[in-house]
Amino acid sequence: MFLKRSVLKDFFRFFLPLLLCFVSVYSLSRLSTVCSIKAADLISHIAGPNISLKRVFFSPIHGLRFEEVRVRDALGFDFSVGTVFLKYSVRELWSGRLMVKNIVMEDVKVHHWGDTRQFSLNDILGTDTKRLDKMWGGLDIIFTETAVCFKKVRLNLAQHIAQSPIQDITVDFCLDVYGGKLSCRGTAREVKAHGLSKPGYFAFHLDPVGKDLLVDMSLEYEVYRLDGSGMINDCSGRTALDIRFHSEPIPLSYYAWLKAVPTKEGQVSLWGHLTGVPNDLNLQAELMIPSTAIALEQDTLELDHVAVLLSYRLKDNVIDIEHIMANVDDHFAVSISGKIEEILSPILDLHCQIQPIGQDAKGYSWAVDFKGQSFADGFQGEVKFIWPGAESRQYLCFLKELMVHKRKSKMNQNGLSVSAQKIELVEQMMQANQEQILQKIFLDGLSLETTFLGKKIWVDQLILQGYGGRVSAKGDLYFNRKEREYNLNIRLDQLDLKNIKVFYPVYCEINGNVSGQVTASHHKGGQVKGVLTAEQFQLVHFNPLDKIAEFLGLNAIKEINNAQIVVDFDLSPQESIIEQFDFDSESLAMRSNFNVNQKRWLEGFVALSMPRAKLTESKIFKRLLSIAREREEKLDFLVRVSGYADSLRTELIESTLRDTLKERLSVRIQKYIEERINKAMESQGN
Amino acid sequence: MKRTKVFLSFVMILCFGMTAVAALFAGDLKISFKSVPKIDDSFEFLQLRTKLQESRKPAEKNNVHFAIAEYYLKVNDLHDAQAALAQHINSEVVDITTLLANVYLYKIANYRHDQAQVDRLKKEIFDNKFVLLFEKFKQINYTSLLGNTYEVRHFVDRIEVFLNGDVLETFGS
Repeated sequence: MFLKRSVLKDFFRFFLPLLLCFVSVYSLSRLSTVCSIKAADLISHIAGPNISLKRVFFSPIHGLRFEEVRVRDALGFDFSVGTVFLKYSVRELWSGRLMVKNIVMEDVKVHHWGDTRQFSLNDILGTDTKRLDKMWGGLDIIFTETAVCFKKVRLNLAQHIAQSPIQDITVDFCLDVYGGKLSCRGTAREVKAHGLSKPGYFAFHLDPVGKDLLVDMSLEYEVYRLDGSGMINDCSGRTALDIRFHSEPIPLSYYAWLKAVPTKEGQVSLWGHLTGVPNDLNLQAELMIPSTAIALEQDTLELDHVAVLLSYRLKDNVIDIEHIMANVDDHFAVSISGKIEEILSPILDLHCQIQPIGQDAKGYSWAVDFKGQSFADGFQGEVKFIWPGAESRQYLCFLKELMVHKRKSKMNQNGLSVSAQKIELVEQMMQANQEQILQKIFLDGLSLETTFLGKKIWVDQLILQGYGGRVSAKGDLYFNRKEREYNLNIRLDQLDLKNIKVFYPVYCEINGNVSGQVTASHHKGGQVKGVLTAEQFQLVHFNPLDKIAEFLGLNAIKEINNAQIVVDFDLSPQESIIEQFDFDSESLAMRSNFNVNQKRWLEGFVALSMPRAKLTESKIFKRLLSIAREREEKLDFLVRVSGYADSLRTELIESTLRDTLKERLSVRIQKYIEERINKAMESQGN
Repeated sequence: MKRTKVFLSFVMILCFGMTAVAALFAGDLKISFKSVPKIDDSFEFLQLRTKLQESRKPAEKNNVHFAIAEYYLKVNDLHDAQAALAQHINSEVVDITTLLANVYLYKIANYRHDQAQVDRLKKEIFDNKFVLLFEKFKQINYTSLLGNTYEVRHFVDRIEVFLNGDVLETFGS
């Protein structure tokens, strides 16, 4: 005997009568429920051709239940309801009033949207609820404290609304009539939208205040949740939304879409602002990630102060990127702005700016502009690169008819394959925010094959076609956090150059058939090293040579034609060393070396060998040669050149002619000659 | 009371320190210009002003302008000296005084640690193309109205400026 007698006594005295009471009420309600198909036909007949229903259930306790109701209106709006429950107050019936307490519609399917979707919210909310009250068959129907609920309302928006970002939506919502006001609360489940792999969830609560509606909303997708509140202004007229929402900081590791870019740490906060009229909504979103790190194979890419400000125009399906900013590896501040059209197959118009920060800060920036269409494994369009040069100059590189594809190397490494049909290189001088084009170079095509592992990029093959020859390059680049290194071996093959201007380190203009090898490397300070040889070479306006020509009073050597040239150089931002700049032509043979520092101070030695016949073209030299009674066919001079690149000074270091003249001429005449040469030089220089 | 005393002491020490530092720096520049000869004539500046009004030829006016700038430098009025020198180098006449004015402006900019001006002026000073054929350097002499003698030696890679026989400044790469 586990139970005491008193317990059993209590059970029989209280619980059993209660149980019997429930059973009898339930049985009565089931037994008193009347199902009628005839009544359903009758109601369908009375309601007219727009409403049809199959069965009606009547219970004095549960109220009315209509099954398989279909409604069509004159504007083509067509929907069906699985079950409509209608509950009323039995007590109020004795007073001759039908007080509707609940109307629940389950399994609502919209078959055809028709034209009625252009309705005013005033049709549903914010109305005087007394207008809902009706008289029917002498019976007052009252909706004073009614809840009208729609459950499982399935809408296929993609079928009804062109370019809708939301495809399918299942909505549950209730309209509550209380205190003469109508409010609405509900949820939208299984929101399937383009770009979302899983359905989302949306809950809302609308409360009317005059003509406006207060809105509370919550949006959930996977582990993310956005809470928002705001107002729908002037529901009866020109309706406008003003809703702000925010998210709690979410760990970036939650983001499934970031699995492709494995994020090691960090969290994101999101703010949004939904504005505009219902047909032209604008969503502005701001996203902040204080700090994060992305694992790239063996490397880590650190991003700080990530700030994204976007606005999405629903009507035009355009994302305007106000800015996407981030500090990368504490070395660069990257900023992106522009717009993305057609989100499903994005058309990009983006401007990306990269500025060194911290220890690397140099007060200049690089920029890349993208214009074109992005597709599953690449990009098609055009790209413009802008990078700064010395002394207020900048270089632009336009890659037109560009195709970028993802590729896999033989070692199964990821990479990119890039090709461009037209390339334009522009050198510009920036003066007081005015751009002056110094020169343009056109190339015929580019082909680039790269692979990458983490932050290391291998240039497997780079070929630039143009000027009847080609430039090919191979090498690697490594954007390590501590140091950025690159090493490129560039080969020039038979480039038939025409009127190419060289502005750095010393100005000159060149024509000719150039071949050679150049190595560009950066390891603790960048440098470009190389050896170039040229046939049928023409050199004009070469500044040090111009000075020497002025010094000699020989304009003929200002232009070197049909020369063979060898250049061996080592260029770096700190100091550019031209170890060898030699050429041989009919009029002049030159062996020289120069170095130019950061402030463009040039130091160099030039050894010249000139035919005596050529020197006699200068009046001064003709006279001097006769004074010195010089008979050698070739005269040699060693000249030292020094000074700022645009105002060079020259000193004759070695010359047998000068030595002979020193012996034969008085100091006064020597000074006079020097003065004459300087005056001649000044007049030529001007 | 004690706090007030400490505060007042601190203010006094601060004022004294600042004055001492200012005096020290002012002295530095004065030392660099010490070779400007002292002419014991209280009416020197007035004489120069009168001479400026009397001068008709641009070259003469140029010499007076430079002498006025020199006078400001002598009395260590760097502000007026800088303005006078800047005005002088903007005049139409370009001669040795233009180079000397640039040299003084360079010294003032160097004293004020204005690196951009220093670099610009150095380039201006070297904006003098020439050829050395027989000699190792080109020499130019000048005596100002205040009696200062300048000697400028242009080498191929440097410029040496002497004032009254002492090195005023040397410019190189």
